[in-house]
Amino acid sequence: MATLEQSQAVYEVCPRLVPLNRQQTCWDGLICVKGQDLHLRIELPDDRDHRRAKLLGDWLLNQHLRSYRHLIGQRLQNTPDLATFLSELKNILEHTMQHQSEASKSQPSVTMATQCSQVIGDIGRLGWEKLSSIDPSFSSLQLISEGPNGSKHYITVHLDPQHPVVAPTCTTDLPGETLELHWTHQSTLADIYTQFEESLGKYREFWDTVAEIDEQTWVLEPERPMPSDRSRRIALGNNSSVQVTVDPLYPKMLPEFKFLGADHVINPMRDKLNANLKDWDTGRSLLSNLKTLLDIQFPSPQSSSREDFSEECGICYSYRLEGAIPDRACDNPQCNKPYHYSCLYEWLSSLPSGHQTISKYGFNTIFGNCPYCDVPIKIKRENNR
Amino acid sequence: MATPWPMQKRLQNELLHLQRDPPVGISVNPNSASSTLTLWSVNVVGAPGSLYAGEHFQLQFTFGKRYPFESPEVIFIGGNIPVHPHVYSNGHICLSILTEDWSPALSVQAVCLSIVSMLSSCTEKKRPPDNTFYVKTCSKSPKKTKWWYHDDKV
Repeated sequence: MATLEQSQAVYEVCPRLVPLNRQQTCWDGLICVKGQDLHLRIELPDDRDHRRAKLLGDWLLNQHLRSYRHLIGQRLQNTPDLATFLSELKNILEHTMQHQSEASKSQPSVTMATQCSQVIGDIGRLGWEKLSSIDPSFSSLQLISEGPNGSKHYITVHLDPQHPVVAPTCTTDLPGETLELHWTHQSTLADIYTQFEESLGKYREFWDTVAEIDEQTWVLEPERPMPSDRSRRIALGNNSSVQVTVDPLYPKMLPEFKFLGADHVINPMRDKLNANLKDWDTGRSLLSNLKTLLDIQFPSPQSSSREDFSEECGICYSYRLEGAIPDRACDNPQCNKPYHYSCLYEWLSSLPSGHQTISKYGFNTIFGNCPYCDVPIKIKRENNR
Repeated sequence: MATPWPMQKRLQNELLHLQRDPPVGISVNPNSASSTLTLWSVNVVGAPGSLYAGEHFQLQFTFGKRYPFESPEVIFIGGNIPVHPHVYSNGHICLSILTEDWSPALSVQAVCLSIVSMLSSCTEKKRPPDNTFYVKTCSKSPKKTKWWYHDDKV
């Protein structure tokens, strides 16, 4: 009787799944999901406990259930009988088949192929020598442009899956804003390249300006300037330096200045610069303006070595600490010991208050003494560090 | 503020310097510092002309994670602990630069030189007056002792 009820229930869920023996321990047939027939075989142990059933199927069924093995095992344990399990199985299959058909819709391989051949055609018209690299899926490529002075500039183009309907996104090594593309459905890679070269032209004067600084002074930071770097930290000597940040579109205008180092060295420089600001001459290069206004000759690679300006921090004994270089120095002219901001901060704030000259935290400033010469030294707390 | 701990780099730097260019009478035991850098043993020789001339001593340096913001722990170890009014018989040393007068400007080399000079200025070889009591009651680390630096003549 029980077997009859069971076969009736199974019949209602999967009409084409039939028992192969009288004991109903082996079922074979088709399970129909979303109009598709999948071959299924179920083997039960002799006591017909469905929780220990073996589920077999053709490769298509296996393919669909690949990532659901765990879930199916769980359902098998929790369902009261075979028929309920089969209807659960149907649900899972419906879900995965729905999911997979959506996934395949979004990346139709035919469109991919058209896009690839279009990209290859585009590159051919542009010239293969201008291609620096391309990824295997043809969705991201890098183009190169060589400047008149041998400088190389790169633009990375990421093509949208719906290229050329949707405009590609570009990343460049330009110092200014990101490249604003003018893009229509008819645009090609050649149009991007032309726009890229046009904007390179806008920054030519900027690169000449920073090249002069890089050649004639000791640039402490960045260690290896990139075409997009707008700042240069120029060594002044005596553990002091000036950081200039250049406007890439107006490189001959007055840049931003930040002096770093011991007060007794940098304060007179700052005063001199401020007093002479009116003499800034936009007809001359930034470096020559700087030399005139500060009335100094910068230490140059011709007359000095880099080690003269990369003195180690007096606390951690290294020059570069987590990317930072020493930018503080003791104000005592006889001492002048350089420190990293973080090292000096750590030392001064770890001192017991008995060692402080004035209150330890006065107006966001920590007071203490130079570890080497014992002359008072102070450090401002910087929130951005 | 995320503070980077510069300990490792600084110790490497100091070790290199001390091995390449050691001051007279001071040498790092090369095997002691090799693995972790946090435990060194340094051999020092009593300065010529002092009461300890030619005597060999061994110092042990233990560096914490906060070195050089915090002083290292320095004690005499081995068979020969100098008999000195500031050196206890368990190797602990009463020297202000090892605790409250420490500064990151000091280094292993500076500490060794200070200790040699402390030995050199001694006029009479004797233990500190409270030696028996201190050795019985002190903590394992001399850095936990609240030192009272009573005289700086020796």
